[in-house]
Amino acid sequence: MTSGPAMDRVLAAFARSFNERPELAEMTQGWDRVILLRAHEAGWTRALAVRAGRLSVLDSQETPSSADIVLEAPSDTLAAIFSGELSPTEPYLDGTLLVRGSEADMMKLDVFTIMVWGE
Amino acid sequence: MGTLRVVSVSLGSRRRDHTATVELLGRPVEIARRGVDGDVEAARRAIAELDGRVDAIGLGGVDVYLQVGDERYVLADGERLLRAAVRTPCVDGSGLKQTLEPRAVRWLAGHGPWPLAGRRVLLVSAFDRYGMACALEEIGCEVRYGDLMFHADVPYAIRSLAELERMARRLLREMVKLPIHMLYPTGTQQERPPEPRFLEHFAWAEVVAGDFHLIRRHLPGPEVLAGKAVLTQTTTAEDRAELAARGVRYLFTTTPLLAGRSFGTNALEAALVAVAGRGAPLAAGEYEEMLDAMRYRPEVIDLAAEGGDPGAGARGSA
Repeated sequence: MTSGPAMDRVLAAFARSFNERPELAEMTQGWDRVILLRAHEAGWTRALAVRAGRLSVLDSQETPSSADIVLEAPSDTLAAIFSGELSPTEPYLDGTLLVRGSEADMMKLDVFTIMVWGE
Repeated sequence: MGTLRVVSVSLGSRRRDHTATVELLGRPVEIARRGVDGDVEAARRAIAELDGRVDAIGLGGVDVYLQVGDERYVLADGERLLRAAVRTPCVDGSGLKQTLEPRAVRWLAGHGPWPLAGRRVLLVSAFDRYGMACALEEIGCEVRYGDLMFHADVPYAIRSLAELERMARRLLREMVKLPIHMLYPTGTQQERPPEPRFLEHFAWAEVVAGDFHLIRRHLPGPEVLAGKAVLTQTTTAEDRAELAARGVRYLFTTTPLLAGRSFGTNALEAALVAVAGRGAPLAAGEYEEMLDAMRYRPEVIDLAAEGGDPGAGARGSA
C-alpha cells in the first residue's frame, strides 16, 4: 500500500517532469482540468490541476470534492501510473482503474501520462 | 475459370455497402462490402461465417498492423478480428497500402494538373500511413502529422518523421491496446457532420492527406479549403460532393477505379490475394508486380470541372 506522503512525492516528481516538457504545454493548450485521485483502501485523495499548460499538485485545502476527471484505483496502481512504471491503459482495460469523466479526457490523460515518462 | 468471391467486412457504416464484379488481371472477381456499423462483435461473426466460403476476406475501417520506422505495432481488437478467419486469408489492407500509397505519391509528384512535389501537406494520421509519409518527404513536401490531433484530440502537430517515430515508440505500444472505437471513427460516427477544428493547420496546408473519415471528422469550410487538394484512399460520390461543397479543387485517390467503382484498400488487397490464389497474404514485391501488371495509377479528379455536379467529378490520370 502506498501511503499519502509517498504519493505526494510521486506526484511532485510527476509535476516536475510534466512541466519540464515544453511539448506538453502545447498539447494541453485549452485543456484546463482538475483531476482527482482516490485510493479508497489507503484512505487518501489527491488532486492535480492543469492550467495554462502547467500541471500542479493541489494541497489538501484546495482539493475539490468534484473534478473533471476522477481516477479510482488501489494506491499502488495510482503510484505506479504516476511514477511511470505502469501505463494507465492496462489497469483501465482490466477494471483496476476506474475513470469517471469523458472518454475524450481519459484518452488525453493517457497520452499525457505516457508522454511525461517517455520511452 | 469461375468468378472469385471477395468480401470486405467493414467496421464502417452499412450505407456505403455495394457489390460489383470486376475483371482484375484477367480474372472476374466479385467484390462485396459489408458494413457492420461499428459493431466489432458483428464483424467477428461475419468474418467467421465467411471463413472457408469465399476466396479472400478484407477487414475495413481499421488498420491492424501499423508499421512506423522499424517498429510494427498490432491493434489488439483488430488482430482478434483477423483471427476469426482460419481457412480463408483475411487482410486489413496494410500490406498493400505500404506499396500502393508511396507509388501514388511518387506518381502525383510530377504528373497531373497540380503536381504534389514540394507542397505543404497536413497528413491527418501517419501512424497508419508511414509509407505515404516517407514518400511525401521524399518528394520535398513539408509535412505536418496530425496523429495526436485526429486520434486523441490533442492540439499538437508532429513536424518530422523522426518525431513521428519517437511518438509512435512512446504512444502506440499503449494505444493499440485500446478499443477500436476510441481510435477510429466507426459506424455512425462516420456519418456525423464534421466539427471543424485545428483550423491553423488546415489553413497552412495546400494538401490534406490521409484516411478520409479522419479528414472529414474536423473538415472546415470553403473559407479554409478553397482551391486545395485532398489525397485519400477511397471516396463515394457523396464524399466528393461534400469536398466540392467545401471548396476542395482536386481530389487524388490512391485506390484505383475498377469498372468505374472505388474499393477500400483492404478490398483491393483481398482481391489481389484471391487472384494470386495462394491462400495467403502476399509480400510487398508481389503487390508491386501486380500493380505493374494493372498499370496502376492514382485517380485525379478535378472537382470544379463538373460545375453543377461536383459529385461526379472529372476523372483521369491527366
